[in-house]
Amino acid sequence: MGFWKLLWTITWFGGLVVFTYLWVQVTRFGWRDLRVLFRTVEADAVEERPR
Amino acid sequence: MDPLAHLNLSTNFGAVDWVIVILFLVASTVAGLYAQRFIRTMSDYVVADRAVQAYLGVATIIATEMGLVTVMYSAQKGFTLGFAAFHIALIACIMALIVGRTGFIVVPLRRSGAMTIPEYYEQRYGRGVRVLGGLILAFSGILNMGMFLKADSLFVTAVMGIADPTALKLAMTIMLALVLLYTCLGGMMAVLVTDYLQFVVMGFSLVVVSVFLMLRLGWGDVVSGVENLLGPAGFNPLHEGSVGPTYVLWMCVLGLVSCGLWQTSALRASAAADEEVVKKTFSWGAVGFLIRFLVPYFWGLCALVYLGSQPALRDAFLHATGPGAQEVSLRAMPIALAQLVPAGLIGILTAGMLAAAMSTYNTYLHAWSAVLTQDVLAPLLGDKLTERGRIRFTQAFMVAQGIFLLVWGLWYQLGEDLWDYMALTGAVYFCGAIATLVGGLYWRGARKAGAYGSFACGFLALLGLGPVKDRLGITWSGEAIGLFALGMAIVVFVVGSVLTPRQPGEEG
Repeated sequence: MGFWKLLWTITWFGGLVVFTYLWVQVTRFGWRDLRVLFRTVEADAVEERPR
Repeated sequence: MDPLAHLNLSTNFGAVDWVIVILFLVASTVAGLYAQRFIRTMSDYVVADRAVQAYLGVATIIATEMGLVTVMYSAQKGFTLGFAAFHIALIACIMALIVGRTGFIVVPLRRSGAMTIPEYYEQRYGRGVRVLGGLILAFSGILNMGMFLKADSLFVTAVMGIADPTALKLAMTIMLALVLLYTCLGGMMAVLVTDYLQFVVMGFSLVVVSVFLMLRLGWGDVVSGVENLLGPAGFNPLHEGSVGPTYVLWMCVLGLVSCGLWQTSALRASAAADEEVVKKTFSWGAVGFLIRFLVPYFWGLCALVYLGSQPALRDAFLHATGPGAQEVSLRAMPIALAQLVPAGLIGILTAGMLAAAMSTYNTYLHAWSAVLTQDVLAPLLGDKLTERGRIRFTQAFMVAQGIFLLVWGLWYQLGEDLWDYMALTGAVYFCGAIATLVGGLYWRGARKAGAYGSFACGFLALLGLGPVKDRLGITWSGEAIGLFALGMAIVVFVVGSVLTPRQPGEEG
């Protein structure tokens, strides 16, 4: 049972730390990606608009 | 009758928490409606002009794959299996990492340019396979989604202390209507904007509540509590008192399916800007696939330890039997959290969980409706549908799904753990899809006769559902039936492909 306890302890704390890091990164750069997406969609719409 | 009706179940949910929840709901809806201004074509509506970058892709894949229903069924597994349930999370993470690093399935799918998986079927096998594949995918997905509202309402009832069933149904209907409103109008753009917002709120509440529970109960006490209540089976999934090796193998299949073959994940591959973004999204998404199970498992086993230590609650939760037993174990986590987490924090938790629910509803409503329009209706009408017509039909399918969710959630009596219901209803689709999609992408000899046969085999998985097993007197476990259906689908696919020659419209 010692092996399983160790495995699940590492999985839990490792998972929580990595997810917290990911949350910070995605919150920060996801906002930037969202603005890029808006600009791209708007630029494409201007290109496609009939003259 | 409610088996917990005789218990006096308190909650810490107060006025501050109501304010937090209402503010969040308003912000989500406004953000979703804002996205409507960017929709001009079906490509904008379905795959957001294929311009999604990696971090936004990660936010949206995690927000989607972690619904409130995920939290509920995972907490139930944590409550019933203890730490042994962690193996499902670890397997899901490893499978997503493999898919992300190798690009298995998702990269060739992105390269094909298909917006949906059935669209790929048409490129590879012909129109008939696309229509049948689309129908089965939507049927399986909508059936799978059928329990979402029920599970979510059990959470809301327990945490907010809503006792009146009519008020509860009204609250859930309003929430569903808000999601329907912005998803119908804003399509994939609304899904992306709201998913980002919901990822931020949900991620914050997952981490904060988990840390709070560790401090409140103590890690050592949780471990020893599980050991006292479940013994070695609470840690070792291969132990005879736990799930066993067949179940672990079934979880490996599900791990692969949920990141590589499920339409809501595949849609992320289709919407990505390029192949590198696909790989990055799925590699980082692996952390999401781990955490979406791991955190609720932990909350579930905290509920087990907490309720196990309360003499007044212990018997009602730990020794529940009969038809309502599954519902009791589903309600264990929210009832325990409502008593453990203080006012203020429980409002953030509820907002986070409503975020999880809304981000899953919007993608699921959007994904299945897009499949029904693009892959069933449009091909059947000979591609005569205009862009505007397609968007209108997609919106109509979304509303129909919303009505189904309300009706099915109230009618179906769970005969198994919720996670196992999800796995079996999903298997109707993925048993055939594993063979057809993987075979199509990687084997030149794949043929449409094999595809039709493997789709038919997927329906064998329905034999694993509790009420069906009871009626037919089947004694096999649900996971054994699922693996049997998958094996049959692969065999039939290979035999059907080998025995039939290539036909017009087929590649290879």
